Amino acid sequence: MIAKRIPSILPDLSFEEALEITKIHSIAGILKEDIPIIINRPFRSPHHTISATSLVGGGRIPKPGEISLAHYGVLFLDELPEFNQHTLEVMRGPLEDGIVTISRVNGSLTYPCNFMFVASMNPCPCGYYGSQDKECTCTMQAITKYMGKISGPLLDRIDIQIEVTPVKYEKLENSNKEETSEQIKERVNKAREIQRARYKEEKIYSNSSLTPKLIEKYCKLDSKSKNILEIAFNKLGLSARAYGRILKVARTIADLEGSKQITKSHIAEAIGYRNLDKKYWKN
Amino acid sequence: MLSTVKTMALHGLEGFLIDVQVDVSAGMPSWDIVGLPDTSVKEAKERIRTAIKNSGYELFSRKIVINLAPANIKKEGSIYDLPMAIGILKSIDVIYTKQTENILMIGELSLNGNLNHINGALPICIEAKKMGIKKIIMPKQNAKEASIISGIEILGAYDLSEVVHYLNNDIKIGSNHITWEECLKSGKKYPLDFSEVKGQENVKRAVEIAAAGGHNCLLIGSPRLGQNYDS
Amino acid sequence: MKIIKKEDKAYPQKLLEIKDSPNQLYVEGNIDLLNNKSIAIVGSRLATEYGKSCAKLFANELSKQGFTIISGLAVGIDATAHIYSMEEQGKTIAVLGSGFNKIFPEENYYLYKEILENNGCIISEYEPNTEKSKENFPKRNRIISGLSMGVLLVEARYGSGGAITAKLAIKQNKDLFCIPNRIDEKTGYNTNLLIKQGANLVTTPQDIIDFYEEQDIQENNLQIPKQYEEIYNLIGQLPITINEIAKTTNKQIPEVSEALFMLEIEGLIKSIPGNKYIRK
Repeated sequence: MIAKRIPSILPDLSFEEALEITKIHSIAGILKEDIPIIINRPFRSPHHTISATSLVGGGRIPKPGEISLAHYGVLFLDELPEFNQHTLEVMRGPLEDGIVTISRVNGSLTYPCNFMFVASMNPCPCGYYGSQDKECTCTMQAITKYMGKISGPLLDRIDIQIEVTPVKYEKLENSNKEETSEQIKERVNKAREIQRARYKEEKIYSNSSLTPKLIEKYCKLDSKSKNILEIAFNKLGLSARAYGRILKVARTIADLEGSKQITKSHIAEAIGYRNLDKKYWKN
Repeated sequence: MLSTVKTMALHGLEGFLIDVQVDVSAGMPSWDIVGLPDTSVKEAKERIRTAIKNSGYELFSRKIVINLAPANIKKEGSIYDLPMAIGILKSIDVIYTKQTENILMIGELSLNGNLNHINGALPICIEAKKMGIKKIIMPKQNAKEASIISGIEILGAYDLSEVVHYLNNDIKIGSNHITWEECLKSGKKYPLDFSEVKGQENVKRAVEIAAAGGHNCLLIGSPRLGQNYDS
Repeated sequence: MKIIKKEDKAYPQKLLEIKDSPNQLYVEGNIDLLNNKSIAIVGSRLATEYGKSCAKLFANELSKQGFTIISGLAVGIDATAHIYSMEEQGKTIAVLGSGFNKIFPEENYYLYKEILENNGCIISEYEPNTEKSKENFPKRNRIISGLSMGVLLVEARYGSGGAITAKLAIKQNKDLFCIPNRIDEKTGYNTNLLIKQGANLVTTPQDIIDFYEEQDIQENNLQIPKQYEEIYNLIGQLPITINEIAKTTNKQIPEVSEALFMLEIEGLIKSIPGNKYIRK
């Protein structure tokens, strides 16, 4: 699966980051004895029956939850709509803040949870909406209900939405050699360095953490791209909250290219990753 | 006689230095643990008594009072087994050196005197180092995860009697330190690679962007279908 | 008043394409309108309130969207169509069935004046002093439908003038739009019949606008920006994914996705669920 491979292209861990991850894993008691310190970014994929407590942390003796165990790594929620809504809502705050505070009778504990949130879901309950091979048997109502399980505010915190379409077998056979994670990672590392250097004084590390104020400062657009964005909003019916997300993603695309200025094409690609916004959730 | 051993309580990632004060005196045989211990700490009594016995030391019926200071911090878990046992053995003069006071101890005892794996050894070491502690005795199973910390001596002990002998200067326990570079070398590469995913160029591009900017992302599609093809 | 002969440059192109096109046209007002994209709105003289409100809605909206409204200056639907298309300047053409000096019906003389004031256009194939006659009215209907891209029939009884215009429109290969009506309403007999026979059923002005927009795109391949042409040509009625496009064109995903986006906001292609694209 693609999601499981995301850690393989994430930027390398620094010693301090590794130490912090290992600390949390040590408290949770899930360190394996043969690993003195964690050197790969964690990938956590809890099952959808998980409780709010195990997701964000807690218990009588407060233990770090999955979101803290995914610190500096990836938290992957497969089949997102299957998760308990309350469970997902509890995660919202920590997702934004990067820390989670658990209050107990004897005071409150704080664990870090600076993770990349990756989720997957079917386009509809039967899973065939938009598929070429099989007819979708869901009613429009059922699809709307299914999509409705994910609250707007949570969706709001997701920058990139992308559709995965199955590849046919015959195509798998004769396709040429695929890029390795190593090659992709190299580009990712470069883009991250650019971001680190740019945000030295802002106390953030990546484009995803840009606040509205910082977006204004670092994501300036020329008139051409502004124009494109405006047309896109009018014609594609994007929601206003997509605006900031698009700019952030466009910033990253520009960084991957090594471009200082966000151009029209960066914006165009970034909007491409919001398409589902209008396609599925608007009706 | 009164004796003191250092240990640590962990609240989240924050550590608090704890003094385990043990007094063993003649009187009606009893055993009290005070200083806000929770049930799991109180249970230690039976473990410690049996572990001391099975390690070959005799614990005559006496009045034992253990105080975990400061008394306003809640103590939970089984990591206080070792410091409490050492405190008692010191009080009854099985351990006769003074050096225990500068050593931090953590560890859970089993009935036969062996030390068991505990959770949170690494953050305890890091916090201890910050507080100027130079030496930590902990279960052997935990010594490896803590050995990444430099500037503090980590001693991994196998059982209670080994600790006693060490403290009485009968034996030496070796400590080893691992550097970050060594870890990187010895560590395994991430087992999955994108070269195993055929096609899906646009999805790969999207996750590349997500990884580069730390963006949250949502993959929509028939995942189970996709899994068959690209896993 | 001007006279345009068949050989003249100003003679409307569309009229040349029909059979028995008039040899000369008497024109008053804004000549340029004759070559604009236009819709004829016709219907019963004995219009019901329903018919009139439909005519009002369509005339108003279509004229705002840039269509010129053509009708016959008769009472009923015709008059309503003229009046409400005049809210926009220069958007109405009246085709007379008599000479300029013999406006019929006389009560619409004021409308005649108003059309000219509002930069509209009046035409007739008859000499100014030609009297009205039973044969002339049906004949001028061929000009109404001939001048337009399509004919919207609002209400028409069995065998009425509107029905004739509709027949002519079909013969001239024009698009025919009909507004549905109650089945027990005499004025709706012919529109419902035509729908049954395959005319385009319309319920909102947008239906007509969409109809022509789609055609525009199919016919106007020239609008496609050069750099996106290769990708556009790959996209047809069968859905195609971005990966397939990238592979066929040997282009990178960022480049393809930019092109797809630009084509989409130009309204040339459409994205559909499953990350696929089709031609609009």
